[in-house]
Amino acid sequence: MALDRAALAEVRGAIQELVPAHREVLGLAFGSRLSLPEVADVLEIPVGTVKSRLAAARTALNRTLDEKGQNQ
Amino acid sequence: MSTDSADTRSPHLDLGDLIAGAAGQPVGERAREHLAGCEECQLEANRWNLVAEGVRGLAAAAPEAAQPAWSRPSRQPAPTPWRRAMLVAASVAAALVLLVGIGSLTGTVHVHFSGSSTEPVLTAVTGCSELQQADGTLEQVNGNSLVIQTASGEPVTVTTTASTFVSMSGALLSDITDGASVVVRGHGSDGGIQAAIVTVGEPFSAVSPAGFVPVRGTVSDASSTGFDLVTPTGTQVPVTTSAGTLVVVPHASLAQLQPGTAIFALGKAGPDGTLSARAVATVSQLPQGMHASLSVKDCSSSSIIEALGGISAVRASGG
Repeated sequence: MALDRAALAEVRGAIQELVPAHREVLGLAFGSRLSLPEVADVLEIPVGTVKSRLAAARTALNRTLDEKGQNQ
Repeated sequence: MSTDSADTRSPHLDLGDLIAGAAGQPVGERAREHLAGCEECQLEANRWNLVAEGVRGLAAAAPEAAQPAWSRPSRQPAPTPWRRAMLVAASVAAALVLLVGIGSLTGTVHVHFSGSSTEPVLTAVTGCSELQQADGTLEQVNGNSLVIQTASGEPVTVTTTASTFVSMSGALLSDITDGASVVVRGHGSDGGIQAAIVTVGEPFSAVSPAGFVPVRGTVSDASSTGFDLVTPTGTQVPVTTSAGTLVVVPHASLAQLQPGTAIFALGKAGPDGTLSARAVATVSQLPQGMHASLSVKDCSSSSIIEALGGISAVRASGG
């Protein structure tokens, strides 16, 4: 998995390329350090949707890192 | 590994545990014990830790003005409802960090300004050949028709029907009244929100200015300096407004439009030079005499509404 080999600077760069909905949920979970129910409350979506967005955000992040790694 | 369901699910840590751990929140004793002896979960935890570090690094690199007003690690949780209010305010600020600090949404609405005073009375709208645009200063409202004084000095009569989309925006703080359903976008400030944009009523569905997380609720205790926002979960969040707060009323009536404000109308031109409007928007925050050319994706009502939404929020989205 690309995330296992990525440097922090590369991860930051990949986060910048995420779609807004993914950046938003990551920001609330890790920037504001809200719990999953709190993120769900703020975004007015179910906790399950928060989890799926987080998982999708990480998948997208890994894919971006993987593509960048292959292009180097 | 949720402690209440560990017997019926995968023995590995669940996403909630991994996120909590990466966010620096407490995790259960059983989850910690499992992590200590599970290589697979350690790998997963390391991946999430790296993501969390990346997010926090970007947030730290964002401008100071966009930093959350409240930071969880430095303060003990306050009792509800204040804790909830601070959570919402902090969340708005945090999302601001992520969205403004990292980038902005790519819109499909294009607004081009010019200061020319030689614009024609009606101008073409890019993206829909059957649409014409009239803009200028609203001179008067006569029942179902409007008179716009254009930059060329020529007045244009704009007719409307019951299906014409009418909106207005500007420093319309008096339109924020008790009981109104609103969406607030702004910055976290002292456990509340310093409002940048307040949308009164049903918002433009397709338009969401970059850089803000919308917080929905109902207005309570409205005054000239702010109000309490009561969220659907019952949390009261103090909202501060100022002369710089942009108020958007997406679904207004002709009677609400104020003569003297900048106005945009999109519709079909008639043979007599009048414009049969599909959408009208007054935008009092725009400088007088400025002309804006609107573009739409296509001729659909949703595209037209999106264009009007774009011009309504133009100051907040940076033009």
